[in-house]
Amino acid sequence: MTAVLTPRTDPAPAQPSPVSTGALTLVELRKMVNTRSGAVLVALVFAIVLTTTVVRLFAGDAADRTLTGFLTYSVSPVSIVLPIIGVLSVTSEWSQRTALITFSLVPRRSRVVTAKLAAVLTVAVGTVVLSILLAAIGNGLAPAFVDADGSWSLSGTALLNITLYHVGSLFIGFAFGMITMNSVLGILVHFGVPSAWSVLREYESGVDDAGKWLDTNTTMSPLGETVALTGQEWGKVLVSVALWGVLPSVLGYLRLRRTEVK
Amino acid sequence: MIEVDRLTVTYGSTTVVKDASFSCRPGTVTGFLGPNGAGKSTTMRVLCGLTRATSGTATVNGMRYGQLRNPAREIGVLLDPTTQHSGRTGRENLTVSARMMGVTKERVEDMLELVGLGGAPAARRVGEYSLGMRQRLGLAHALLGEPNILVLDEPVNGLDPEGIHWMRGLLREFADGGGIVLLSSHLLREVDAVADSLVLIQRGEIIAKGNKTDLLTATGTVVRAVDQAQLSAVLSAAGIPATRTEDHAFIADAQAETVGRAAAEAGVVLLELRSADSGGLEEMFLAMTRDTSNDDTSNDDATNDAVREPQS
Repeated sequence: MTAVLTPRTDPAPAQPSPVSTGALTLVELRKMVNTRSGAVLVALVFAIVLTTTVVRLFAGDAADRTLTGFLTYSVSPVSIVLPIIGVLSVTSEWSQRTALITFSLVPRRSRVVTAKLAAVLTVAVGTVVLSILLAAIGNGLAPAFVDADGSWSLSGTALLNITLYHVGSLFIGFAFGMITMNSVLGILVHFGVPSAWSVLREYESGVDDAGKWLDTNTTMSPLGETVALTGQEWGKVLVSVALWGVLPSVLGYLRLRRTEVK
Repeated sequence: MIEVDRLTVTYGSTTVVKDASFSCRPGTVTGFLGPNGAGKSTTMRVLCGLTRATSGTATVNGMRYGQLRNPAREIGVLLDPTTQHSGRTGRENLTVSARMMGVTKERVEDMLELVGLGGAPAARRVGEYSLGMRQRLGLAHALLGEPNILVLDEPVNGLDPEGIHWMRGLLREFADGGGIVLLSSHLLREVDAVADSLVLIQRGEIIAKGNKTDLLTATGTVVRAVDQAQLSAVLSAAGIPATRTEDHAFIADAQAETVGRAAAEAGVVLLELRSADSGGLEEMFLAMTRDTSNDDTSNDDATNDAVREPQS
């Protein structure tokens, strides 16, 4: 007992070095899954990809039963859940008040934000890897049960599109977490704003024109396909992600730097 | 070393801490005393980089907290036991922090054992913990990085008498090993039992600081007479400043002999005449805060508030 309690009285020749940003990122990833809600969300991502794989296995055209076909089928359903993970990665610090501990241990707040962003992007890439694995299993099994094309081709373009789709939706979730600092509000705003937007677009043509550039539901949908985006489509993706991802992240970060942690 | 130098914190027009200076040295437990709202927590939060100083500095081993590269390895902090994640187990909370400060899993287990949360309690979610268990977990958290400084805000809140006794021993042992402890409390007796150095704060201002024994002997003489009105007249005639205490005695700002002689010459019959330090910290604290206080509520807060949750 005494040994573990003894304070370090050596005159600390050098300051103890901080842990690496990589280690902080691993901690952030751990924090995403070590609570019930976090574990449920990650399990949900897995369940959705598994479900879409099974559905594709037994429904639809034989021509769609290819590696790419299985893969793209899960993109859109999964992207409903991913932003929530992004929101909570930031807001759980505030709802659970762990920010006090986090920023006490790592006073340079930019390091924490960087680690959170890196963790969120890791989840995006991880989701792609998981999707490919399950798609490959589906594609491998398909010919044994049903009529299937079974092609194993997967274009770089398709892979890039899917990855960017997941990165984009997680990043936007992260951004809503940064700007709201509140789990419920962040998730509500994330789902509420696009819906409100869609309703408005039905009535106002001006809103509709703007929506073609600003509504991420619209601008990002080409990323759910396997063909390369045109220049204008890329422009729309960039503009909309700048508005809903970069801007709230930056504003949230500027506030976070000064926020007094209670 | 902890050094607070001319620290001032204002929120708008409210001054929460005003020109406060004190330091804490290795081998000592410093009790940071004051009524609720006196500025204890704010001072500690500045020290831990969570609140900005309006002017002045608070440094840890010569540096502002924000400049420390891995602060938890130098200073262990327990400001609020409710900030551990309620959805994670006690062990998981410590493990997350251990990874953020770069200490081993073994250290986590050692600390859980040390604070009496080893075994089954460590695997329970913190949401199921009592306040006392959270305090224990918070202390384990503060010790996790093997710091040489501990800063604890109201750490005995929610502990049972056995737990309080245990924590006292632990803090004493830590200080005796060369560590520095800064411990805030409004529970005077708890501080009295463990601190060897004191900082008294009221309304943001440090009203006394130094070695506990020195402070206690400098607090005057308790005197009580059969006829208190007569005694009061005699003391003022003799030019001895005195204040009336809650239990209708006087604390006179003079040596017992001086007070005794004045009473004897006037033929006042005394019931009690003793140095105020025998009344301990509480009497001293009441005497000091009465000098600068205009309302009585702060004193009541300081003494009767044992069960209130810590304010953050």
